[in-house]
Amino acid sequence: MLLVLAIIVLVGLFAYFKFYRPAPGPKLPPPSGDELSIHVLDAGQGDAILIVAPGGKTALVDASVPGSGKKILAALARYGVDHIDLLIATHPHADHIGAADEVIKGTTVKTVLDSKVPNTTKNYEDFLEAIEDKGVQYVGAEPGQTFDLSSGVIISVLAPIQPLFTKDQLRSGGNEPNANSVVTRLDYGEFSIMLTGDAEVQTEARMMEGGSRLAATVLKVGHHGSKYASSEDFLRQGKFKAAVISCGADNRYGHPSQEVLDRLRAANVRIYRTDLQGEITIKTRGKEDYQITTEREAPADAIATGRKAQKDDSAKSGFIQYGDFGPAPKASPKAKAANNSSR
Amino acid sequence: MAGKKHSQKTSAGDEVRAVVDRIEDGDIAVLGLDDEAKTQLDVPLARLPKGANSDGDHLILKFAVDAKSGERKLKSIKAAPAAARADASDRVKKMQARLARMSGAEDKKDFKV
Repeated sequence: MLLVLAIIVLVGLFAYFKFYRPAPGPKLPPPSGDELSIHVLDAGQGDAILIVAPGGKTALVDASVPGSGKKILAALARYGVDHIDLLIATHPHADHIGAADEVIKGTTVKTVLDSKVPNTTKNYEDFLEAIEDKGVQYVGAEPGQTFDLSSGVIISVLAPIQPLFTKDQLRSGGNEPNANSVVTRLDYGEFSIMLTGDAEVQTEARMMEGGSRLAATVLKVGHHGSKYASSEDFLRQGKFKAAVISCGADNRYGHPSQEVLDRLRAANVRIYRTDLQGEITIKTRGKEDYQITTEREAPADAIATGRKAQKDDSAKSGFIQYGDFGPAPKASPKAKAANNSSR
Repeated sequence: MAGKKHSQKTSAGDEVRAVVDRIEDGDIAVLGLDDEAKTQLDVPLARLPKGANSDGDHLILKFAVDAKSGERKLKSIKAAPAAARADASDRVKKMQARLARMSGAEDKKDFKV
């Protein structure tokens, strides 16, 4: 009898520690009770999320596509923001750091948090050069770091987790910058939001295995709603009440995918989309109640309907025929110099 | 962007350097062009040359420019010399290391911003 009881207790303890024990995290300060606002900007097929803490401290998570700097700076002006305390560059793709150099040049940025996963694009080089030119503090992301925005607002880094993912560990077509995205969570009293960059299922799995604190009020859906992100397990552990998908109305990548929308709906998560509803604003005073408002309304069936990825029809003429192409390129000074020296 | 046609009248820039910024769902390669506007161009992945079809690979794009309309059409995509990627990678890593050193924030965990 005693042996049976001991086994039951042991099984119970195992189950508690494996499945229910709250993941360890930083000791969180109490919320000031004043309003925190989070603006998921409608900046095309890219992420740009402005966070304004009650005491006036600010963070910007990503800076969308090249050329969207004006739009982002206009949003800062609209909300009376004259500086960014923390710019989080989740990863070095152009739909996340595209206008980061424009933002750094156009306002005062105090600290940049970077995944430190390198990319060899002009875009990423320009971003690093802007950091150097403006003397911005540059921090490489590591799990366990916390950024205190005062008034009880804390941003904690959950990923990238070392050792970083390498190409051979990823699905076909997957890439290291996405898999090693900076994933953070913001806590303010009883409110929290997960900010996942372009992290996909393998990153979610690693965070779950590592016991990261994933339960949050709101999810910024990973990789613009790609079918390769937001697994059922992740959504179950996250217990999210609402999800925001940041994507462009004209994207041809199939974002958001029907699969992810279905998974979110099955998990009873309320969905918001920048491509259909424009800018999405979340406001909270740190209690369980929070408000989400959108720039415009969209029918529920449209919100629940995904996009299809465009397929290669290069047998005819390919995507280029569709003309996703701006004015003729003027060579950058660097490219001109390279060309001259190679002639 | 899809469906939009640009017909800028110009005959400039028939050869442009580009880098594969990323591969998106649907096997679409997003190229970042080395021009002032940092133009992004979606190209079917299958159109990239073998050995230069991953993130960070450097390419040379050639365009034909219609003298009348100024409209450009992509003629060819070639892999850039391997040194282009290696040089850029080297520059970026050095810059990252320099910035991290200057910030003095290595090993710091708690930041009051």
